[in-house]
Amino acid sequence: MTDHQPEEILDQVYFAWSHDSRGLDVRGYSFSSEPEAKKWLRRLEEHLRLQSVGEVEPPATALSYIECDGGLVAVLRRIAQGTLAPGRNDSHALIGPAGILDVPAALSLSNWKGWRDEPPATWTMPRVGSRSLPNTADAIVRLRRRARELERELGVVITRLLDRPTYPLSIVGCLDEDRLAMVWGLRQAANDYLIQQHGVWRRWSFSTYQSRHDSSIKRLPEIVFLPVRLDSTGPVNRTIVDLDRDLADGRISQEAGRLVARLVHGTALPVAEPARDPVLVPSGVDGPAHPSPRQPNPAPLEPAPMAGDGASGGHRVRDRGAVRSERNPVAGLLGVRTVREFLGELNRLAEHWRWNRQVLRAALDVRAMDAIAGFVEVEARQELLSRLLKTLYGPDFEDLRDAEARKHAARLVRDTQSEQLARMVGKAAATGGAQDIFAAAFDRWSAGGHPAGLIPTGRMAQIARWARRSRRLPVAAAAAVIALLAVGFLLGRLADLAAQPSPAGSGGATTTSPTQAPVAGPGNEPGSVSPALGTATIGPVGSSQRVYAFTKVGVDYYPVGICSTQDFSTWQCPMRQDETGAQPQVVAVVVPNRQEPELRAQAASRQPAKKGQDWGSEVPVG
Amino acid sequence: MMENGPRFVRCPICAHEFHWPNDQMLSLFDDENESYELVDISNESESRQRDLERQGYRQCPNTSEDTTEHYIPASYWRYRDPLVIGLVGASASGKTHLLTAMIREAYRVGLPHGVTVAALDLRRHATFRRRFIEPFEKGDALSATDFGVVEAADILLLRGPGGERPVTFFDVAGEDLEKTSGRNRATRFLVGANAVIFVYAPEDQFETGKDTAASENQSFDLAVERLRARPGGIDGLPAVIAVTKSDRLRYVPPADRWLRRGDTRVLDAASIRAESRDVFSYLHHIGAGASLRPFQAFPRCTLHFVSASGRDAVRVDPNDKKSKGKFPRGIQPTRVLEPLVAILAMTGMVPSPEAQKVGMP
Repeated sequence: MTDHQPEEILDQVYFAWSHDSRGLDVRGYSFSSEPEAKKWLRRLEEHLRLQSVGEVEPPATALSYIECDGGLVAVLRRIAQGTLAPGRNDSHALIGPAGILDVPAALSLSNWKGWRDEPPATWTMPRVGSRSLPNTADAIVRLRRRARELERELGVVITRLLDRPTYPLSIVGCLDEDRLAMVWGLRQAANDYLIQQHGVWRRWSFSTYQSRHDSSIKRLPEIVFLPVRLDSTGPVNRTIVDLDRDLADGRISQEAGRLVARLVHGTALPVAEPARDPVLVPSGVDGPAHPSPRQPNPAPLEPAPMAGDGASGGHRVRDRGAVRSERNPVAGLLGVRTVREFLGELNRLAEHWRWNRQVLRAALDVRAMDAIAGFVEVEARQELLSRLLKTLYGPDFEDLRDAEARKHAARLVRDTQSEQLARMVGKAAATGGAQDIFAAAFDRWSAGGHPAGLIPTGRMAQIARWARRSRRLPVAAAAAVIALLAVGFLLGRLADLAAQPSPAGSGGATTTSPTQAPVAGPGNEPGSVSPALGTATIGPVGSSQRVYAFTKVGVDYYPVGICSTQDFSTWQCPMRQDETGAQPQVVAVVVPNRQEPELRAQAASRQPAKKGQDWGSEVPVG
Repeated sequence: MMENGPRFVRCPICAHEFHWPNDQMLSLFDDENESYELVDISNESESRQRDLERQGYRQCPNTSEDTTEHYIPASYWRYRDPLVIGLVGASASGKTHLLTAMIREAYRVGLPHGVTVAALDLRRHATFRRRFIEPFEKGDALSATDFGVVEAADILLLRGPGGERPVTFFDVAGEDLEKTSGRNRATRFLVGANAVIFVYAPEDQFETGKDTAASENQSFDLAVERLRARPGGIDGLPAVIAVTKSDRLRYVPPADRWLRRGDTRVLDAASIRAESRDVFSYLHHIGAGASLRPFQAFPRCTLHFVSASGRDAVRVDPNDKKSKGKFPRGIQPTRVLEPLVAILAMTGMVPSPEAQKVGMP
């Protein structure tokens, strides 16, 4: 969950033993009616028991991420207390749309202060605003740190995962405190690779404790942790990984090792060939910007096992055959570039799939929807605002030659609530030399920002302060406009999502806040960053060195991410493009290995890095 | 055991009937991957084939595909007239404890009239033993049964004067038994059940805060109505009402008399009738008339006072809500075999004139 998402309201339900109904029942809820809460009891009941297994007691709490129908998910926290009999324990569920309660958000909920250990005194529970939930970015920092200590375990699990990429996982032997980090690490290391190489789109739903994992359980998460090997009476169509026994060896383990190394050490990606038809394979924004590689030695993919829901279960996966033979029904939608194309594609899909909308829902999961929302919120808005301004001021803002029009535009720049609108008019003024609009722009930013009162920080604030000190108005106004443009790329909008071979995820395909710097965000880990790549030619690099990409602003270097190479000569570096089309200066610099954590932290905290004495020469990234 | 009998089998798990395939294929369970592997045993010697069949499984064709993939013992087809016994009762009424104590006692002391018990589904029984019997013997309160369980709890083989007969036990969550959803897979066993143990526990008023019994017993009512709706209704379907946790009544007449008597080793229809009369009176007296519904519905029904553990479980640490329940002085099952013996008598497993009187009006 990111700060710039609109606030969503989530519901909660508390389940506990009830003497009235003689069973586990709803004991508190935020829904408007009890029947609605009871429906959630039915949906989640198979996941409420917290049972011991033999001599092994269940943990004090367990967290589960359970996907339900209608795009809703429940994050369930079970508590090992209740009646005398194990399994008649209390549970507290937080329920909301998957777009808000996504897996990273769920992983961060282990520290949520709102979890209850007792039923509410009254049956009423408040609804929960999404902004009151823990910050996902903070949690990810913790999870990343923990995941780095699980290099061997991640390697073992990913080896088995790559062996049978469509199968859900049951993991034995993982410490309680490592389980969330394990989920995060697996997702971060393998998600994009599985999409690109295998066409498998995993959900990464999880349960930190299970005492059953047979196929009869409805909505059993994709990754479950078992305290010991279980005695199952029913068939278990899952890959069971025993961390105390299994080893990461063989050919697949090398691939797994590279994925883990990429996560843990930020090393280069495996060698990949360009995809034959990349648009057919959806992927998330977290994915590498390399062209989708294809499997060097395609082998028949096993059928996806049932996911616990009898005839209707199963994983949302695509086997490679299907990917090649069937066109993704939403590929067109994901590739649109204009509002007209977007509306046309929507109409086409609505008509074509009117009787099979489940196909669309299967293809448009949260990541794909986020990519589309990103287009609507960024590119479509830009196009619509351009049309509005064109209507208002004529093509190429030709009317700004007129004093009345410039006065109107100046008022707009000074007073509009829309930062984007002000920036677009300001840009036109910058090219047209309209001094009164310059002045309005200066007023706007020297007053501390847009009317909502947000105050630019960091580099932006320095530029604004410097501009205010300047008595040379035109220069100051130009500086403000330049600063604006700098903000444009500093905001870090992901480049040209629609042109990507895959849909973008929640990490970047959204509008950005004015205070963001060009850095990796939660969904934009250094190991998996960058929607666009540039290249730089750099000679041999020592084993204790890394090539790092920076956005250079004046004398400041804003870390972007690690560059990778296949021949140790041409380096591919993550870079960004301003939505206005401006190209920031991106440079690649050889830096010592030891500085990588610091750069990563600076990227996370959106701070510029200070050029070190031991840095190499900067090389432009083109 | 049938060597060349009809190969038309009703799956004890999903209750669908199907022709048992006449081939030499069966599935062996792979413990490592917890999955079944289909193997061809046609090239094996006959003795080896029999041995593999004893350990192997057949996948149910699951014709309607409305439940998940499931397997039944490969030798299931060899035995005539399989018995499917379901336990029915509200949540926390003691079904799992009763079944565990019952199977444990059947193994430990045996059944009357020379009836012996063995596992037909070897793996399933081993699992049942590890998950239920062993913790129970260590004095642990057993876990609540999971929701949505479709698999049988145990499949045993009884051998006695009446021949060899597989017995499949179903123990599902009380909450599942009270659902009215037509898509409730967990209670599918009612379609194929040919004997039912209705389990009722006298409530602890200090625990529940209630001083009157419930006016309805929903799990009993739903099961009775579904059994009535089967072709042929419930004629010939024996039922038992077991008043579990009767140790709570050890000082309450008439339960005290039966509990002091302990387990009986001889089938005595008159004694069973006397106990049924006392249980009926007791339930009627405490206002639990709703739990007598099976007695009114089934032509052959017996009633019993039983105690699976001999006492209530208590928390190891009374002040810690997270501490588990234990039987601190161990378990002392009392009269837990009476319901099973009555069912065996009423289903012909004990072929004697005395058995024919059991449960009759």
